[in-house]
Amino acid sequence: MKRITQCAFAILICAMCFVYYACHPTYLPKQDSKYQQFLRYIHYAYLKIKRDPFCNLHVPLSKMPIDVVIPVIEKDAETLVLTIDSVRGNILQPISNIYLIAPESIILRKIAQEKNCVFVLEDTVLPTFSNNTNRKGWIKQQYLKLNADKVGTCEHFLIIDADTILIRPQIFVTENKEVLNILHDYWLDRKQMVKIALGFDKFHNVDFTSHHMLICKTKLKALKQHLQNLHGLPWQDALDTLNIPEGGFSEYELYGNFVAQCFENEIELVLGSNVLFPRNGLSSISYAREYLSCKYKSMTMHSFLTIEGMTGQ
Amino acid sequence: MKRFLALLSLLISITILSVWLITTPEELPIEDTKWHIYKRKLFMKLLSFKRDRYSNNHVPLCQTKIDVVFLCIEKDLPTIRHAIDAAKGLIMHPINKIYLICPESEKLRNVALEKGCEFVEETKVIPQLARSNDLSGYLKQQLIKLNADTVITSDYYLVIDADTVLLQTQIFLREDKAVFNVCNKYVLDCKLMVESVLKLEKYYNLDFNSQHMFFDKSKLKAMKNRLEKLHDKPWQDVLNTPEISSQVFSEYEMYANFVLTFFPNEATIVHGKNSQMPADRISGIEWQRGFLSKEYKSLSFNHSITTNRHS
Repeated sequence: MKRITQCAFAILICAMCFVYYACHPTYLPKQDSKYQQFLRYIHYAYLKIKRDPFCNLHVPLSKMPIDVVIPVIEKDAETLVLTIDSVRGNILQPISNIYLIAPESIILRKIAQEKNCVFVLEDTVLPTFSNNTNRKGWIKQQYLKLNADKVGTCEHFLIIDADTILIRPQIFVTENKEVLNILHDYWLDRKQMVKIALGFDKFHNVDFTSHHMLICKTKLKALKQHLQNLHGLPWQDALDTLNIPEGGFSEYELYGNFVAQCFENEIELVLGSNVLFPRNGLSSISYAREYLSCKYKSMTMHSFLTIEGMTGQ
Repeated sequence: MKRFLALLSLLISITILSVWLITTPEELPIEDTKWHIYKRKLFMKLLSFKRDRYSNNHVPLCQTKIDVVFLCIEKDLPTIRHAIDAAKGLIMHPINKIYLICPESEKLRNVALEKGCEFVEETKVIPQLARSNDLSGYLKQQLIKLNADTVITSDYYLVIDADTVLLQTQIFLREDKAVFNVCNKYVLDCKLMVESVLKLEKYYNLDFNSQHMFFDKSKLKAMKNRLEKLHDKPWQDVLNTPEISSQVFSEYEMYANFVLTFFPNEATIVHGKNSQMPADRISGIEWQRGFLSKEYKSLSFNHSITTNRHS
């Protein structure tokens, strides 16, 4: 009996150590091995059991005001309306203003007026590069997000993609903690990009590209300062000149990894619970979202995701 | 092994005895002590485990016709439409009529017209009072709820607060047992007020001040008769005295405690499962209700919630 107890105790201690190891930053592996995936699975399982203080059935509230910034192009006009409504309906803390950052567009201006949002032309937000060539649309959007601290008056702002809808009541920042949603969709390329850009050795074995992110202006400034000091160039040029693998650039990963390591005590990692949903069902989305809200916190409807595309037909 | 079994049976008997002690009515304590609060928490926990036969995924139905009564003022305009729609969609009784009892107001009349409800001016429902000079708005509302049986035609009526939106399908009567929803905001003074007017001996260690109450006209009449017999004056004058302040007056507590004492076989207690939201969040109701209906039976938009609340 004594031996069994000792054995059980030892197993318990080992399991606790293993969970601790899985939930903390580790050196970046050369490839995303099965062992890495297992460690990630443990981390997700731990977060699933842990109570999410920012989104639960006790309906948390916060009085910290935030701005909401939505970079958008005309292609996402139909989901944008839902994104704005969901932000107003489901964020249980004061929203100071909603900013739409977009290229000149009559439709988007009209939506901004109808939904009482502030329309900001993207050219006014885009940082000035020394190498002034045209950048791809999605790369430009990422620079816009990193420079979105130019708009808004609050210390915190939420960046949310125009194709993402919040489907559960939630908050993003309390007096002493900010939320950092993590997803299952891990890409090693993105981590390598962060390694090149930030010079970190260790990384959380999770994915921060959650289609929305709460950003603190002070922390974003610290990130830019870190980039400038490390590369000796303005932050935008530093990122622009880096040898980043194709498709590996991720502004969410950059900010997420930076704050998760440099401001560890002010951040709460929670499970993002995002579901990808085809655009086909957009017209009657209310039926799907009420059902999906039991399991997920947000849903994303990329313009390229259709039922045919998702099933490979 | 024998010792182990003896210990186990002792433990089981102690548990059964404690559950019985916690869940039976008792005399009112002098103050709401920590032990009393702890017992109440346990009672609520036990209720949350109990299967709610009045609201569950099997969609209970009831043939008994009921009326639904909303008391509202112009402040409730943002919520009242949602409250009416939710009542129409989620109450699984045939609804005879929905009454809107309000002060005269053009806007509220429009709501009644738009939603097919019967508008009743509140002055028609206020009972005749011996002293009506200093009738506060809160007390007036409570007396109206108790006197609504004079305008209602069905045998049963459900009073719902105008700021409360039902989230789950539910019934209020099953196998001749009416349901009483309980909440977490126990106030001992409310119980003491009930004791002073109804002179009941034992009380459940629970709070019956939920956001809605299902009234049976005959039982309500019996309660009024008891009030009149005990105090030898009309029931409304028993309640409208300077000794009873509006903070401690609770019509729901009175009715629930009365029915549970005198008709224990015709009543059931279930967990209220109500969630509270700041009043300015009503515009997001369509976004919130899907998720919240997983756990809660109703959602109230409370004007007094503005503070930070983390859970």
